[in-house]
Amino acid sequence: MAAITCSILLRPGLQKALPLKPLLVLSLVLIMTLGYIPALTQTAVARTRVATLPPEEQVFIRLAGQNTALVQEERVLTLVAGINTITFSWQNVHIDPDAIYLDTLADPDDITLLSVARPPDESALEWEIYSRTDTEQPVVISYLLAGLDNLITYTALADAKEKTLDLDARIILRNFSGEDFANAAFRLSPNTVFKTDLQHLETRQVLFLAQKNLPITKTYDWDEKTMPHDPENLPDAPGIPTGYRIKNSSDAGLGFDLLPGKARIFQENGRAGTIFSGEDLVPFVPTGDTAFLQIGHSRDILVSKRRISSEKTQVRRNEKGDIQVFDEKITDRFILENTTSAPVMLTLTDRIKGQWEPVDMGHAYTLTDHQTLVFDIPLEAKEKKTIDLTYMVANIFTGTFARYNQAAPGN
Amino acid sequence: MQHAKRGSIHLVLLVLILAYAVPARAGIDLMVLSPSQKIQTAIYNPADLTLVTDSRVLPLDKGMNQIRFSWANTRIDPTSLTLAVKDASLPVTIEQMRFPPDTKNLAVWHVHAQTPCRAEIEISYFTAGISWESDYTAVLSPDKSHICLTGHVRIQNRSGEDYDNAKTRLVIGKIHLLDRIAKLAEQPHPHGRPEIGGFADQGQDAYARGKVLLETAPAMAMQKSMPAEAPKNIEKTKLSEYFLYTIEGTQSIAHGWSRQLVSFDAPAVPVTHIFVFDDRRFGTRTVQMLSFTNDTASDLGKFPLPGGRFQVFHAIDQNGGMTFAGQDTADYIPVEKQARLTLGPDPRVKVTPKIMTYAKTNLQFNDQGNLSGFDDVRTMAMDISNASDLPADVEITRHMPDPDFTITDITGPGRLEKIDQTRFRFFATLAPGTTTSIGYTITTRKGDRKWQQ
Repeated sequence: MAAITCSILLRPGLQKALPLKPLLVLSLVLIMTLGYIPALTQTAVARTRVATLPPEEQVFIRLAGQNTALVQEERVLTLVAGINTITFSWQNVHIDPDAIYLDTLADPDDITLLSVARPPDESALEWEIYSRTDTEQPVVISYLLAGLDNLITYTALADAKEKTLDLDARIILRNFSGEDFANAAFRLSPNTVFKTDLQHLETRQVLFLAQKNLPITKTYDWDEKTMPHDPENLPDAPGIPTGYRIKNSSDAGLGFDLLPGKARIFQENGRAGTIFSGEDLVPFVPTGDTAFLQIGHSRDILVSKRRISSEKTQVRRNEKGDIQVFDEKITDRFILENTTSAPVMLTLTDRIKGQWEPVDMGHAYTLTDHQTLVFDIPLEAKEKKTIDLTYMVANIFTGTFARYNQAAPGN
Repeated sequence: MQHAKRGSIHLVLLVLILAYAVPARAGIDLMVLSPSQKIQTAIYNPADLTLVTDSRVLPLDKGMNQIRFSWANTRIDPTSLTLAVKDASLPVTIEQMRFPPDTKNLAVWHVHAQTPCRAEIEISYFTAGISWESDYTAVLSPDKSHICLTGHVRIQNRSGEDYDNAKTRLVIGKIHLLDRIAKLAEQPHPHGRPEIGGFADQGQDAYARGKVLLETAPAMAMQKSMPAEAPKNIEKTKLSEYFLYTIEGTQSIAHGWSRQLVSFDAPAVPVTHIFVFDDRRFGTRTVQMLSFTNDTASDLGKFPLPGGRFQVFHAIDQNGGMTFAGQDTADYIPVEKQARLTLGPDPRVKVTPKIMTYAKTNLQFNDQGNLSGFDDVRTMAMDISNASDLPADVEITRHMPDPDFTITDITGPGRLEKIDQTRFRFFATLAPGTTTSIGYTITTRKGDRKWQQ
């Protein structure tokens, strides 16, 4: 059984029974002293004499991803004039002892945190607080609690024409901390706060976003780095990754950071039903960025890449006749086919390494870096298209400097 | 006969006569077991994934209602559980869903109703263990010019749960998944747990034992199919990247059983017999391939054909006599694309490459007088014989180690196609019982000759 205790030792006669929670007990030991030295000597004793437990006014839990949550408890301490010692201890829960903070919300002239001490061989802290007067003081105790975290999951429903998408986001609270929480305020972001119970070993799911009719663009993305160039003779066609692009903007109905999480994507089937289209991981998507959610692989859009010719030119030799530098004129052929009865937009990514220049590229493209070419190619229904890319790779070195035939990353 | 162990799914409505406030476990005064109104299944292939949608009507009281959904001995992915109220105009809000700490395989939705009402709800979830696959039977006509092609789909249920009278759809397509559903179904905690260590997980062993029990129990029952019924129509539709086979009416698929249905029947699909010689793929043997096209001319072409096993027979008379011609497994066949079924080597059609002449020309020497390059010139003959009783379309694919070659002086019936800079292909058609030869000269530049401009 886990327990956190925070105890206050008051003057004799003010001791009260503790309303202990089953898993977590906070005890505060408060010692009013007339002199400094006696107060310190009483501290060790005081920890064992739990006198009163100021009840939690409110528990805030700030979630920051996996494994650890910041728990903040608002309590009201009854302080007496002089130095008060407060002990905070815990059992069977995972708390980072170096990240436990006590904040008083009072004027620093009235209340001062003097020191924090950690007793040996014990999961505990002692705070010494100076109070100018007898007072009831609200404080916030903050600590990092392991075993309590959250996941984000998304459920997306695309319309039958794949033009818009309804997006729901849920937070999954996972509590394996050893602690129960009653009506705690969970804060996912400054704008996302909700109150709920959460027991130890409980998983709870709460909807926090339901956005309708987000515009989407469906794309098919063929990348020469990951796709087979000659799929004709492969026993199992891999298919071209396809999915939806979503712009994170207020115009599109979002305009706030999307947190990472798994998205499960469904689609209306036009008959008041849905099918599951696929799932993907939503990365962190700040406002203004575009996210791509892959749903599956299309085996109805076919792409082959073949090298049709490579011709060496501008061969330069040394005095011994050894080849030092040459150019190579290359023609690569893309054979594209849309076997479906609807037009599609194919995004094709190709790479040409080294020093190169176009000769006849066959189709417009965007150069995203020195070697990456992105082609947006519309394919009509049932259309078969061939695109030849002819380019010249210049100054291909042999021997010692061959490693410079590709630009190494960095400067 | 050994019987499979059945799983169970229960839906319980608990109405809390409470104010709209924090859901609590106290105050339960009504318990209703709600029967399913309609069950729909969408079974995916090749992913081990089935989407189950379970529709029910629940009476909701004013205030907070708890809908409890529990399962046992099944392969349900709890992370996929969702509840939806069909009529969006009802004053009903789904507040939260929780997996209570003290009960395994239980999900509880907190549903708040502003007024009492009867709500049609849909609970959907993924389960593993239900699969389907397609297979085909092709019967060659006596003259081998056509096949009668029959497609089947076979549904198998090893999910641990019986699905009675379920509207069944089969989904064809490669779906993108991050996790295996079977793995998610086995997690001791629905969404896993944070990695902090120190807490012994006593449920792990029980899950492992349950998994073994689930997977081993139905072994004998799987061998038997359900009794035959009248053939059911299978409607095919396309949605996004997927094709849906929607089976007419409803299906009852009990755990441990399989069910086979005819998905289509094309009585006269034209075929060609292609004999492929490709030493990289098949060595020195010529392999017979049966080719057909998934198009309307074949009485197909309305939808892609899912990948599956083809068994090919040859009808040898009008009385049903057949021989087994071979079998192959084909991948997904898009509309209007050609499929090729490899039936195996056929010794009656032979391709023999021969080097008829060999010469080294254009010798190059460097400044020190050493040989630095030359041309390798070969005159080739591809002798082809067709001893079968069919016309033979022969396809010969040749691979070269590098692109520095040229082909000239082609003779004979061959048609040349260059595939890419290192591969080329000849096509020829031979009548039954004939031989022919394709000749050509191939000049390969070696050494310094490669660099001649």
